[in-house]
Amino acid sequence: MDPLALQHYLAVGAILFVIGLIGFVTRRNLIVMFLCTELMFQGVTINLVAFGRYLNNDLGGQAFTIFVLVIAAAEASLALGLVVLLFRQKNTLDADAWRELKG
Amino acid sequence: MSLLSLLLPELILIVAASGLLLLGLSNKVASRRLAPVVAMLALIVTFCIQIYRVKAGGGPTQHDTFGGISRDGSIYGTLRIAEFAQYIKLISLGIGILLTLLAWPTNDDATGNSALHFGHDAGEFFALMLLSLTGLLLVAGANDIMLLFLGIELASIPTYIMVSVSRPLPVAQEAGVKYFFLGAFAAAIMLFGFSYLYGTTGATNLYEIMLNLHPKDASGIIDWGTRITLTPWQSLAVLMLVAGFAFKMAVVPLHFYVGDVYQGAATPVTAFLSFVPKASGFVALIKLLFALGGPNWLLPEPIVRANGTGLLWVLAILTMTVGNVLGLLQYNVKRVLAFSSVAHSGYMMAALAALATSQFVSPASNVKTTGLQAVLFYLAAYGIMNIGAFGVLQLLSARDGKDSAETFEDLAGKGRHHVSLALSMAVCCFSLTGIPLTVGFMGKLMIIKPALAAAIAKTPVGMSSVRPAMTWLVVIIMINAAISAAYYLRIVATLFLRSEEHAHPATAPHAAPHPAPRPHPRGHHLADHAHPVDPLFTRHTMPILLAVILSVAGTLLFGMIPSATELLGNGVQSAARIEGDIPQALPGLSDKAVAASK
Repeated sequence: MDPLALQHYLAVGAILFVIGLIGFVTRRNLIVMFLCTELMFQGVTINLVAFGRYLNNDLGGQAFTIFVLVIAAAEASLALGLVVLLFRQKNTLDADAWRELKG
Repeated sequence: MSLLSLLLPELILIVAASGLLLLGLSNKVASRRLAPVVAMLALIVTFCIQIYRVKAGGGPTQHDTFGGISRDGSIYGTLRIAEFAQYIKLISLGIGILLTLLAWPTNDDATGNSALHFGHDAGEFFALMLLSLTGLLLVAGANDIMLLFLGIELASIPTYIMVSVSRPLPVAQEAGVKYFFLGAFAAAIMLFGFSYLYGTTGATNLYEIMLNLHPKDASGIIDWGTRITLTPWQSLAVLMLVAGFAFKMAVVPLHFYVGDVYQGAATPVTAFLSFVPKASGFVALIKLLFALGGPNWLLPEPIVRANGTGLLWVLAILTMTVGNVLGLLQYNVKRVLAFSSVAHSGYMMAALAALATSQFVSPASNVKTTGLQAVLFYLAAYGIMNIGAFGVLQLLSARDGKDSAETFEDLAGKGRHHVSLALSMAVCCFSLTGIPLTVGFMGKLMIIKPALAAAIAKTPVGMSSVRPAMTWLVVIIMINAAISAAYYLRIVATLFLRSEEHAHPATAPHAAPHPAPRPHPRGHHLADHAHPVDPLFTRHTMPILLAVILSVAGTLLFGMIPSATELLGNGVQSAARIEGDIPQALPGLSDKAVAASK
């Protein structure tokens, strides 16, 4: 009997996701904030692979994971581009340095 | 139809976008002038294909399901291009044409127009536009949560870039960064919901999810007549999915970004944002609700409760009210339109909330069909009338003449110099308010119809009444329509009644937090600018003017001419038959879902 059950994987996935969520809300550095969204994505991929494994080896989960990684990579490239653009203008990556738009 | 011809519109757009990316390598003025032409040609070709397909569509049983990946030998696949998808594709492409006109580069070196400045990146800009529209088309046809997610992201990711590059101002980049980070955050939340939906139902295919969720008897016949109960994990998945879609739709808990993002982006991009991501969110939500409720829309507990309230009801009321109240408080017209866009999402959610109660009222009240029709009609109506409003903002230049009008001070008294433009704005604002003889009125009418029908319908024996909840919904829609009239009429009144002297920064009450530092010439600068040559009809404004004319014409046509309204209504009617013919039983479907839910 496998000592690791689906719940363990799901717990790891959920913990990663929640760490990312809390980090995104509390941190102000743009790169750290972006890494937090990446953590959230990786938590989801663990969920997906675990579900796929425990659902009769369903391949849907793994296929979905690959697509999620592609999306995460696309967002990473975009995030780094934006971060460089912003750093050139204000010499800081503090998200609070950007508050010209107000209601 | 083969898979290739099913995906023909998307393929044409992707090929055109790739061509535009290549074209963007060239730094010549001519290639920048060519870029919008290529985009427009691709959109017109696909639009014509869609018109042909919608016309040929006819009966509800035509080509409903096609196998991209067909499992267990069953007939459902990754794509499901039924009338619902054809209709969404048709309106997105039609509105895409108008949006391309708004973004047409018209200045001398073709680096942008009065409101937009993308520099030398015309090819890339229009490629992003086409890619985003392709994402929306894929969402419309998606029948698999993977494709649904990819479609939503394909519709969203290009818009992050479009916001950032739309003008060389720090505000645009700030808007782009905010939009991107919050968008990635919302995507992660949505994805978590997708992963739990997959895990608890055992499938990525929306049909399979629907079939696995519903009980079936020993011979495998699905019982569509029972309202399912979601397990706590499934409820969590649904809540997170709705939260993720709420960001795209600008529905209340995740609406806060719209003001900043819509204000910071250039006006044509703002118009784009107010339709494409919003439509993708609504289409995805409808698909999710359909999978949960089955063909009879028996939506489960957290979404709608037996007394008619529930998730959709709460979201609808909050979204309408918060959007309209925040809209009242703004000084910047783009922010007003941004929060009004939140409010309009609320109206569409109200129709969905009424649709969700259809299971608790007698079928004779027809809530089920009219609810979905209302959302589909309103989506098109909102797209048409909103583009007109943004187009007029774009044509009315700001006080320094460099950018498009943004604040109420920019608009003050413009109606006296540009009567036709201001009248167009008035038509669009009246339509957005929901004043009769406009398409907005027809939309509001269709939104209220299902809620009212549910409020007055007979309650079947043994069910609790949804009358109080639906009555409140109708009342709140009406109150909100009145609130929205206040700020829409304020726009019109500013155009016609306020004089420019009053608009001087020193006397204007809200002029202090001006978004971008702009010189405010104290003299009669409009006299210098406007009177010698009327700047309205030049080749610099022609495409934008065309978009405004088309959208104002659409607003009036669909609102006034009964046959035109009927045409759109018929399209909506056939599109609302989303249930089409779904398979009643699946051969050899494994019991993965049963295993998973334990």
